[in-house]
Amino acid sequence: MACELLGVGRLVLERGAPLPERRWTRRRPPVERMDRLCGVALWAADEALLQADAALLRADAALRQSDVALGAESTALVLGSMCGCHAVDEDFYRGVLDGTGASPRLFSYTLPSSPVGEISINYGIRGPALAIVEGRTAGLGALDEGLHLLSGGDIQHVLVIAADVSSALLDQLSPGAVTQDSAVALLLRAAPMAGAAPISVSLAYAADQPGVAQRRALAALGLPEIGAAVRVADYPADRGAVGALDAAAGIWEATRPGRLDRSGGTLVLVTDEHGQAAAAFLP
Amino acid sequence: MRRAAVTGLGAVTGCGLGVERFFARLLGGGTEVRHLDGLRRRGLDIGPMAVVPGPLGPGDDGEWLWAPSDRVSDMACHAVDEALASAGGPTVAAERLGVCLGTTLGSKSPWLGALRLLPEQRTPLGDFGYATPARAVARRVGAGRVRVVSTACASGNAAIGAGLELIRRDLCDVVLCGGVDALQDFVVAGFAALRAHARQPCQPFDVRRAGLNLGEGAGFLVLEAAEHARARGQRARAYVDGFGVASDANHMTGPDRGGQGTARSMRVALRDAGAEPDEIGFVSLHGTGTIFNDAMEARGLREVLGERAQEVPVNSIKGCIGHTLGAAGVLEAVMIVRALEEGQFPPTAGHKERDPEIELNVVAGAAVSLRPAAVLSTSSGFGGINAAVVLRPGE
Repeated sequence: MACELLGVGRLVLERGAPLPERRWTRRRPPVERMDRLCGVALWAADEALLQADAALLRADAALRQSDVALGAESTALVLGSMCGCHAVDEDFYRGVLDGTGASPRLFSYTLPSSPVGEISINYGIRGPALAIVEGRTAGLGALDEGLHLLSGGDIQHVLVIAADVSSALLDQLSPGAVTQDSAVALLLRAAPMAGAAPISVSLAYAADQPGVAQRRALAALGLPEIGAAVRVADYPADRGAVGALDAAAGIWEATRPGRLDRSGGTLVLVTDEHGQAAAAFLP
Repeated sequence: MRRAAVTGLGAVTGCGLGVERFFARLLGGGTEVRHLDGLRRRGLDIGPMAVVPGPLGPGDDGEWLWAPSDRVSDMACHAVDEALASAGGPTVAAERLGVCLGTTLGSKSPWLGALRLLPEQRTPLGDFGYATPARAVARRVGAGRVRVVSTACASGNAAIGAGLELIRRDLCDVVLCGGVDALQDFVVAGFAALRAHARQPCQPFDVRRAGLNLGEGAGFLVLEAAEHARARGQRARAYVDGFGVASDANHMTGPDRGGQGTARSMRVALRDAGAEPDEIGFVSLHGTGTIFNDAMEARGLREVLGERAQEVPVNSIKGCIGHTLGAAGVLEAVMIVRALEEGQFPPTAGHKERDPEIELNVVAGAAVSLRPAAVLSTSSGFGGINAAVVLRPGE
């Protein structure tokens, strides 16, 4: 799929560390009222938009002229998250358990799709929006879905985001799954322009057989095996769904345009213990 | 472009196990919402709700709403078993068999159970989270592809859309498209906090509507490439021909009052199906029974159908089985397929007197005989996400 990577936003924080101050590309969203997952996702999304020099969307005014203009209805949002909104689930449920009260504000964030809702509201984006929550492969799964939306013709831009946050409880129940609060956002445009680097993503599943799933994912990319000429990228495995998408974004940023030689290239490969696999290949 | 046929159906709802029990109850205009003694005892009686009866449910009094066991995977597996059996058990290579599941809660009960323990009592959990019920199904059927989507209460329609995509992209020949959510005290407390729950059975589109009733359930469609079904002699019970999703960009819990978001999702679905608005002969609306949702949907439908919005029959199934959250869209699709087959579309349980500001032709009191050329199904959820599906009759 030939498309253009317009901007990447990244944020990695220690658990509970405050969101860094930033000059938001449009009016400052009320991140202090949001849950942590929304906060990190919004921050990374804004950074991606800033980098892309995208036109700000305003509900009641004309688009600002820019090199890249986001159409409200032709822009899609796709989020991938491994653990979703578990942190705010815990905050909300503690209020239920300890009698301090069930907070309606917190409850409104107890959905893994909350970040795409907040991004939609704060940037006036009215196109498709969804959250993919199938485990550690969800970041690359979101990229796959984003690429597919671009290929249809109606959608001109996609903001693909991966976000996951940590907690002490998650450390106990799923050690090592997510140890930091992080997000990565990629702003993509359908653009078979000169220099647009193709990227392919495939996903597969084989119950409790990660090796079989991996082979299926590679076969779908036309890579029956990982040859010596293919570099397999490292990525932090303790950032939930974020690490792999972040690695893919980094390689894409560094990929020189015009290279279509499939005898080489870089592979980002994710498997989990349940048998889910995802692969992204950048030639 | 490959066409997606529905060849099988499965359902677990407040009516019990099975599609026929569910559809019969809908046709009769009955309701399964009731007050639960377990909630009364714990001071959480926010109103009647529809829970799954029997061993897959939370108990007659709802006491198991506090249990840490994973009911949601069991519900999903039961529904998919029925769906596959009714589809004649299609044989397909693992790589060509997919599972697409929509859910808002996933397997949350083990997590909540751990939270109720003291820190020193907690141990690592095995499989838990949003993907757990999808993996339970995928493991059961030997699927080679799993997608789990969560778009709030539009998750069910989003799962159907994801399955349609896999068929059209020629990545799968058969996709099990499902939606599932099981209630726990967590979500009951949440809707109590939002004051969105009605103290009596909900009344979609009614002038006296006062909120929603929670429900739970699981629904599955077997979505199969039409040529694949034909080759094995399986008839198409219906076709899923279009899907559309769009955002309100308005508020996290309140819909766009003008219905623009849901209207956009309907238009995208119609265009995707190659259908004109005039082709739509019935609409299954989200119809939660809240003041704002029902009014919003009426405006949105009018945007799309124009004057015909006052004539085209519509219903909501939530008066019967409550709001099943991530399962809602798929259970509506199950109802639609059965209705297309029978030529009988169920009434809206709980609806007695239409709100004059909701200028819709609400089917109420008794089922209506129809043979529509196409049916639209809509869902809306928190975060302002709207999703619509277009279905056409099968063979």
